[in-house]
Amino acid sequence: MGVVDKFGLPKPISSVFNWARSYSLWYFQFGLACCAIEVMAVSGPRHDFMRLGIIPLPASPRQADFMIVAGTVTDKMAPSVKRLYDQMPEPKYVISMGSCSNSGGPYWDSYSVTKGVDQLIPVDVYVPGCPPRPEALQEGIILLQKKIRGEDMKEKWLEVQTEPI
Amino acid sequence: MVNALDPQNMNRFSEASVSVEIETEDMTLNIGPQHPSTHGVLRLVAKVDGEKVHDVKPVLGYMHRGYEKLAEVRSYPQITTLVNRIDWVAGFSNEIPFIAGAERLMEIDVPERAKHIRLILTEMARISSHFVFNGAYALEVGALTPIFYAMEDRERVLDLIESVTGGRFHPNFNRIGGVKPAAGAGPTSKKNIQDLPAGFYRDTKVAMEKVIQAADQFQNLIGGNEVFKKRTKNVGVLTAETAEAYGVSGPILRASGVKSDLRTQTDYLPYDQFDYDIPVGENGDCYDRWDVRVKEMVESAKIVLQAIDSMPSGPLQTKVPKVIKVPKGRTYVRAENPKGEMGYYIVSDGGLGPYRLKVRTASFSNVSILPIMLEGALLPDLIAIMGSLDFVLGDVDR
Amino acid sequence: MEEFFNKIKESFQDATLEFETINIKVDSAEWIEVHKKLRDELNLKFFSWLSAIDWDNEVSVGEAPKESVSPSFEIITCLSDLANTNLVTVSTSISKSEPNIKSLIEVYDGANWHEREAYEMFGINFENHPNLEKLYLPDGYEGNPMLKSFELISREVKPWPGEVDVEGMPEESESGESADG
Repeated sequence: MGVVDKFGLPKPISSVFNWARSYSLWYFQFGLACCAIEVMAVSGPRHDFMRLGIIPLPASPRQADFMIVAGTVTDKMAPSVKRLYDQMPEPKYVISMGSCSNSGGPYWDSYSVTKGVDQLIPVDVYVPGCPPRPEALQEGIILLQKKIRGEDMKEKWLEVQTEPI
Repeated sequence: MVNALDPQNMNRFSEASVSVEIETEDMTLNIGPQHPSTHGVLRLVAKVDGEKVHDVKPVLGYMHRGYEKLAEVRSYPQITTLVNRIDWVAGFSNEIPFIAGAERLMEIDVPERAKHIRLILTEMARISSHFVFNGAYALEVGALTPIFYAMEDRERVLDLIESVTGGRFHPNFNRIGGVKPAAGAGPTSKKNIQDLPAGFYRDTKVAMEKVIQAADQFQNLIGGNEVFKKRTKNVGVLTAETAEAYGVSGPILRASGVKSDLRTQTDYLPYDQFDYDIPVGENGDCYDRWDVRVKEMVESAKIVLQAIDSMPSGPLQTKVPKVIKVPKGRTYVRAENPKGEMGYYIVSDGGLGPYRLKVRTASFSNVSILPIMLEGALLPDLIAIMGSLDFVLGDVDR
Repeated sequence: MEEFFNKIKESFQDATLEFETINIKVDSAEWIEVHKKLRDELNLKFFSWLSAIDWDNEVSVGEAPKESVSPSFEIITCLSDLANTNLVTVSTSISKSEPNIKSLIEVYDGANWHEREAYEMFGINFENHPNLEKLYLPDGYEGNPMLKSFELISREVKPWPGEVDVEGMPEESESGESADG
């Protein structure tokens, strides 16, 4: 898209794109531990995130828009996390849910736990809690949607090209 | 020129028999650590010959957090907060045997009211764990709707647990010597005793009636379904001798015909005051394992209804010193968790924390029979058998 | 519990009953025979778990034992009976410099994974085990984590910030019932 690189998109068009993108997010299931049960509860009938637009749950990273890392990341699992993140196509976002993936959590002194998933992949939204309430996760998703709506397409694409793969 | 599409020629081609030996070799299929299910990060390396699986090697350790080492640097109340994340679906029931072990070594008595409250919350944790199993197992076998019903029913039970303890499934509600004063009961002050919230009895009665109705609905909707029966009957049969030698416990053992329930042996919770059945299966296949758990939900709801009717009054916690030091000794305490037998072996040296804490989890022994049960199974049956064992990776890897 | 304990004491003189747990201390040379006897004669067919304790005077995590002990590994198994739910723990000691013991796999099938875990965490070698390899830790991990001499690096770098006891324990009020504090 050479046009976007050089001239940038005018505001109305980019806001339409961003609005469409933020309301049809597909998320990649990456439930590791207890927080995964909370993600299942968020997708249940009581707290429903399908009304925010996250309808199908693709099991494959190639079709996903963002990834919720829910649960403890251990050193044995860390290469898989990085590999799955790399398989997702751009533009992609990461929500780190729960204190285990924010910074190691209650296992901060363990010999086999990665102290936070942001040591491996860049994170956009941190949701604290152990486990966070479903309403807290919904707020995290809404914050992510706000962030997407405020994005500038030109910077996002240029950033991709200069980033090493 | 022979036209191959001419009908007369087709007959000629079909008569010639093809007798070529096609060389096949087994494919190694990696059912990787990330997969869409509740179990978590379990990796199976399976050798597949067509559709038959014949050599399954589970690779564990993707959720190993080092509980036993962490327990050596923490004090007893701190370990309580750590321990209910082992089996993360039924959080409350992991704390109970550990606290009971510490109380046994300190030789203190727990007041009756605290014992009743602990029993009610344990049974509610059991109900919520079996709801997750029901919904997720139906999802794995192929039905998409039951999981939403199960999640909705489970929310009601979690609301009750939250109104008492303040947390949905990691409550940290037990204290050495009793339970913590309840969360949702109003402002704290020295004169007021914080106890169970107002309306707890009424809400619990309503919720338990709905649990019994929901279990009935599951029996009819899923258990009576022809497709479900075809997929689960006579699939993954486990005999009682194999189960005993491997240390398999809980609903899996009861589905194989052994009537053994540790709730009759726990003296630190008053199960002997209540009237309940122990459901036992006949064949030991996947259908029996599912059936036993649905019936257990109903029994747990009945226990809770009886318990709230006969709740004694009294203090919530005995007096314990400010800094808890457990005297020297060693003991093994076990309990009937929703997944099986869970036990803690505490070796105490008189310090702030244990010298060695060994956590015996149910799912670790349950998963060790996977290589035997999956021998010769078809690939879709592998999913059904793994789902029916109902393990959670936090339990397996600790 | 009492009658079962008496029955055990007839066969094994070294059995003790403390805190409702029966413990039998045996020599490591008789490990397999004792288990066979317990399985066949006393009907303890349910294999619950197998683990080890590292007794040492210098510890890098936690507190050292109050009385000094001779450094050794203590291996413990727990067996139970499904019909009556009797429970027995069997323990033995082996030396730290040559940690070898026979594997229980010929007596109980379920000892397979438990022994692999003990091998990985403590470095104990089980003879005649079919595949003694790592269970939990990633490939290339060095060291045996559960040994008392294994340090937790995060604790060395930064001590735990919450050393202060923030909440007081509940105190008695005049009526004698416990109130919240």
